[in-house]
Amino acid sequence: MTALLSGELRRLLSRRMIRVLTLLALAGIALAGILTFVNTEKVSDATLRQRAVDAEADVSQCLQGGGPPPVAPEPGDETLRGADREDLCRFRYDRVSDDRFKLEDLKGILQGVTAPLVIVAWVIGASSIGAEWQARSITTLLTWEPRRGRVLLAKVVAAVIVACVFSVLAWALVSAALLPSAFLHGTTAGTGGSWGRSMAAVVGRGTLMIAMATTVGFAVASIGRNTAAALGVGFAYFLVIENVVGSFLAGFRRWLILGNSIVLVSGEDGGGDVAGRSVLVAALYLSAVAMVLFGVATVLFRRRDVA
Amino acid sequence: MDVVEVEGLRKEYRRFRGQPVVAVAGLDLAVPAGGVFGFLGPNGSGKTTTIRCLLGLAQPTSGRCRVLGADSRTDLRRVIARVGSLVEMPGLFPGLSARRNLSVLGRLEGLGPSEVQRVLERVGLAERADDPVRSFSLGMRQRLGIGIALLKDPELLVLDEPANGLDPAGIKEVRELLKGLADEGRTVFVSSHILAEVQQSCDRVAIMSKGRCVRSGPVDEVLTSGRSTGLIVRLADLDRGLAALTDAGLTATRGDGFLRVDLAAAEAERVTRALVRKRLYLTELRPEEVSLETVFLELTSGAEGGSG
Repeated sequence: MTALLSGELRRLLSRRMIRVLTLLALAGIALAGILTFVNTEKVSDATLRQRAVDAEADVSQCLQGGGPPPVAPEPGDETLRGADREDLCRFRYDRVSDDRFKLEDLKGILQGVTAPLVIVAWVIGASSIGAEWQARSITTLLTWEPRRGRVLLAKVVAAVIVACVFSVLAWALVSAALLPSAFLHGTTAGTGGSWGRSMAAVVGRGTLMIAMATTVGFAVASIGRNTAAALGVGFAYFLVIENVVGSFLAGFRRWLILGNSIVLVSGEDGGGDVAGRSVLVAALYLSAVAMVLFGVATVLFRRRDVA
Repeated sequence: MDVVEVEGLRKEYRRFRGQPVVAVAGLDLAVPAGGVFGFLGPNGSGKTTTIRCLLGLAQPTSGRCRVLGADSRTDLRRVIARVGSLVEMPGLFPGLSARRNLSVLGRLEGLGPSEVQRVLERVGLAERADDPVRSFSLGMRQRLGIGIALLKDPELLVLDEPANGLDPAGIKEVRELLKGLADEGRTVFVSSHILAEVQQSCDRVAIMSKGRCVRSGPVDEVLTSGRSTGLIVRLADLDRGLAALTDAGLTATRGDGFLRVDLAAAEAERVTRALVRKRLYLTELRPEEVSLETVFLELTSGAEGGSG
């Protein structure tokens, strides 16, 4: 099994798709780091305090009728409905400009980065088996290792390893790309031990999500014997079924993949669109979906003829 | 001992609509150990399906396949290390080099770089060994596919159309390679539609038609079975020659610029004697050549024969 897994890893890493995804990820991360640095600035605590004092003075002046008039609510704007003059003054003037990059916000950024990484994981999973069907290399492999269950298991494990390593490296590089902004244009306040633990939890839950997305993409492509089929099924499911069921059958929302994924990645019980769903149950449910799909793919792979 | 045994093999492919397609219809086949065994048939006759069933890639609808004594359906793992195979166009990993393609597979059987190098040299790819396979021509891919089949140093080679995509020089090399492998004591089971090559390289053949074996046996037997042997005679005056041969009690027919005498080559003297008596002199006398192609076309053009 070790030789089989090692071979699968070598094959997968030799794929042009992996290199292209890596280059795109590196370019995106570098761009994000540069844009963040350009759009943030170093602001001293004294300056921030002075800005707060100035804002309060503007609010006071507004309340006394001086200065430009407060913003009137736009027709249909629910935000300021029923607001009195003080609310309007504070809405307009009680703002302290703070363009520092706060390292504390990295947790939310990594959670946001998880969404595109899940798509990448789906593509890696689907392509790792779909391309083998297309190139017929699966036929060659089966003339060396006829135990099909082992072959499919080695392939999915290899795809999961590659997708997870890719994601962990992407999170690490995103963090690294934002460090100049944090240290030169920002603040590290609020990044103590509990922050570190919550960051580790974000990466842990994200990695689990990546593993499941890879497995599901792999299983669908294995059943359809085609990468495009898996990508098509994925988009059709998320764009059509999730929307239709989510809109018209509220009771079924708890069984939709997207809502459970949001709960898992956010790490907040009842987060996303699934009321009352805990992170643990979301993780178990998504794992079950991945395992069932992989089980179906394995049964079909063992029974069907190979061209 | 037979290294390949096929008993009553039937393979149907289901379709969404209509009757299932019968690819192999009750095939019986035995391939003895040693030599090159040609597996012939027109497109769609069931050759590749049979090979897939032998290698466990397809499940027979009924019947049984055994390779080196192991059931292809349940027990193939036991002997797979002794069987090298190439099924149609080789399925390669295009992002990997030829060397890496071989080494990734070789590791599954504990084969190292020296075995890989040996195979690369044997199939003539040593100089391009480290180039990615996606840059290879069709012929080079085919060579690598043959290399993959040879890597295990197998007792039995199952090759499906190994000369596909090769130029004449490459086809000749494959022919010599197959003969060389057989000389080393291996059994080569090769399907092909290049009949001239098969005739030159195979010891035994089986001819498939419509999912059944219509003739099998040593090549010479297959060539001569069911047909009379003949001699081709050329001379200046064909009409007088025909009369002379008929007068001598021989069965002769006139062809386009020659006479065909229904007689074994060992009795050629009777022809010369009959003609000399009439003062007719030969310009050519030779045994009639029966090509495998002739036999193949006769057997597969709508014929429904029994397996031989």
